[in-house]
Amino acid sequence: MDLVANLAQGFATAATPSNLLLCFVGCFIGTLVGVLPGVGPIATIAMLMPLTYKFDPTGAIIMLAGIYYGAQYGGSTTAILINVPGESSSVVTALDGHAMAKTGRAGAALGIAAIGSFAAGTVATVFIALLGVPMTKLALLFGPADYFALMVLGLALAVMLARGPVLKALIMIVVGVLLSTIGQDAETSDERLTLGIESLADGIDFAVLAMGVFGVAEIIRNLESVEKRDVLKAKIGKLLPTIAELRQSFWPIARGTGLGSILGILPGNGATLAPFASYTLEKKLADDPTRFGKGAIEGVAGPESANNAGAQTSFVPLLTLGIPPNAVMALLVGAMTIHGVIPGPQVMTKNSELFWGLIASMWVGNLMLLVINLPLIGLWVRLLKVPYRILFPSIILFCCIGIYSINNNPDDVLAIGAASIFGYVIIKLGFEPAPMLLGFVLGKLMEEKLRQALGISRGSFYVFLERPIALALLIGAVIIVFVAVLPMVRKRREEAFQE
Amino acid sequence: MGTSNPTPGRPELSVKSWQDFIGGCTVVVAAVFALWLGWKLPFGSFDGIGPGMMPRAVALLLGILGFLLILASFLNSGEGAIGSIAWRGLIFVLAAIVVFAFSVRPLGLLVAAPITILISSLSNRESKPVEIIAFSIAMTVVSIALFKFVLQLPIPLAPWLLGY
Repeated sequence: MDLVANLAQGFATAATPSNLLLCFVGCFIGTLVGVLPGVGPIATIAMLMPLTYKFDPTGAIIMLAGIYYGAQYGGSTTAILINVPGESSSVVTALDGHAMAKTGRAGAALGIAAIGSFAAGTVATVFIALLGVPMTKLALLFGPADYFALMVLGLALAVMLARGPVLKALIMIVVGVLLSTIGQDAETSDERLTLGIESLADGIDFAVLAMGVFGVAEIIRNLESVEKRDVLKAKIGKLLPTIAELRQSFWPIARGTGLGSILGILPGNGATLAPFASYTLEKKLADDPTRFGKGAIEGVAGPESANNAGAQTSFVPLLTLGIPPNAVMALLVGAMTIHGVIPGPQVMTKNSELFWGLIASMWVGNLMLLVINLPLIGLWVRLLKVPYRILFPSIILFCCIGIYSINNNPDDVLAIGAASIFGYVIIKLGFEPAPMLLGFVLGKLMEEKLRQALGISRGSFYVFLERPIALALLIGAVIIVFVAVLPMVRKRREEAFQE
Repeated sequence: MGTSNPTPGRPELSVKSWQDFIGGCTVVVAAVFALWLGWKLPFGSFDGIGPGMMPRAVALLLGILGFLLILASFLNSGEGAIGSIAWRGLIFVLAAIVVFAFSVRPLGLLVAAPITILISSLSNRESKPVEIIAFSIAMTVVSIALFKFVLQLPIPLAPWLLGY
């Protein structure tokens, strides 16, 4: 079968010594930033992207991807041990994970999180491999109008899935799209909204925006409050869950994996919903829902699996359609473009080594993460004690060096300063920056596709109604926006995020 | 947005969420500014979209949404407050970045790295002088070893001393 041959090719690529090393480095750094509060995968990948210029594209993407899913693992460690979700995706894990830790079952919680994530990662790897070929074929049917409609759907989903009020998320997306129009027009080379500033002629660099908003602005906000961290005093205990606990966790892991795999494929960052959805589902299905929040192992096993599966399948829209579903994937678009790889259906045909190599490396990476996380847990616990006051100056230094190295241009460093002021204002006004980054990335693509679509149809908007794919996607987007503003759903959504 | 009136018949007209009110005003101002900046760009037509269509259409949409947020700030109490501004953090973090930008080329990483660490450390009240100095030396060694020697980035090391 093709699948076996493809995966075999992938594993051959992923198993070369240099790729294995890069995968390990990525997973290790990912776990590190996942564990350390205040540093996330977005800022880290933006920071390290210029350092991967020297590698070949496959190795570079393997490492950057490792940072992303490694951070999901690391985030759960802090959630369980100190009740501080290292990443927003592990908010749910903190509920029952930390409750387990307080009763001396931290080891079991860490163990089941790792086992669940590994199982989910394995299934998700096969799932992506299975989906890759049909999705690529589907993508080849897509015309410009369909792409435009798909991105509208993606943004609509992003609005619905964002935290906080719908209107504010919508504003952030529109701000992102507006920022994306800054710079020279792709067709006519007119300078747009540049204020005559020379360095804005090429548009705002995505890495600068991501680093400023998610790296530096986040630091400034963290400096507002004196840090409090109650590192677990109790012993971690045995890492291996008991047979009974494993049996209890089996179905939650299976359901979480399924949920996460499907939600992850959705454009507009469906993966963020996965842990919440899984937690709600497990609570509903439980014989005794009152155990949840007090250390129910299902409340760790399900969401952790969902989280990891979703993180992996979110590569599918990027690799097959060329549309990044979240900010991390958007950064990977940048990394791929630098190496001359154009995200989209061509990846599989023209860069099949990268495609299958990346998929196989995810499984390899998951295996490495088991080793990095479980036996080395003591190391991470010790790292948790690194005070923020010596952590954040290093982040700032690395941001500066990283951005300077992209073009060897000190102006880019100043641009980070500007982006961080902008980011801090946004945060202070209660806006969520993540949808903005997605709007920023999709904005450029949307304008391009809209131009193409209307150019082909000679200015007729019927093109969006005539094509069944475009029409279906647009109807989907309208339904989503409509549903998102319905008062009833809004209340449910708030409840889900609060849990 | 919401339709809840606190007292039926006589709705109270006062800002309930200052965060949303100021946020909405900022958004409207930004949208008007973008509209003004893009005013001279050719709009084009639908079969040949000009460079001005997207910026203006998006800015207009943004303005409307910002206006809606202002309206909402009268109706809903919102979720957060602006709170205090971390001036100390803001100033020293930005200063560190600016100093790095201006010092990396003429002075090189050997000088820019410790200065950046020192200045940004000042933004935190809890920082201890001895710890900061020791840490800035350590971080300089680490970053030079990592970026200059392991990754071989073409970043200046100490042009005034070594010539590169």
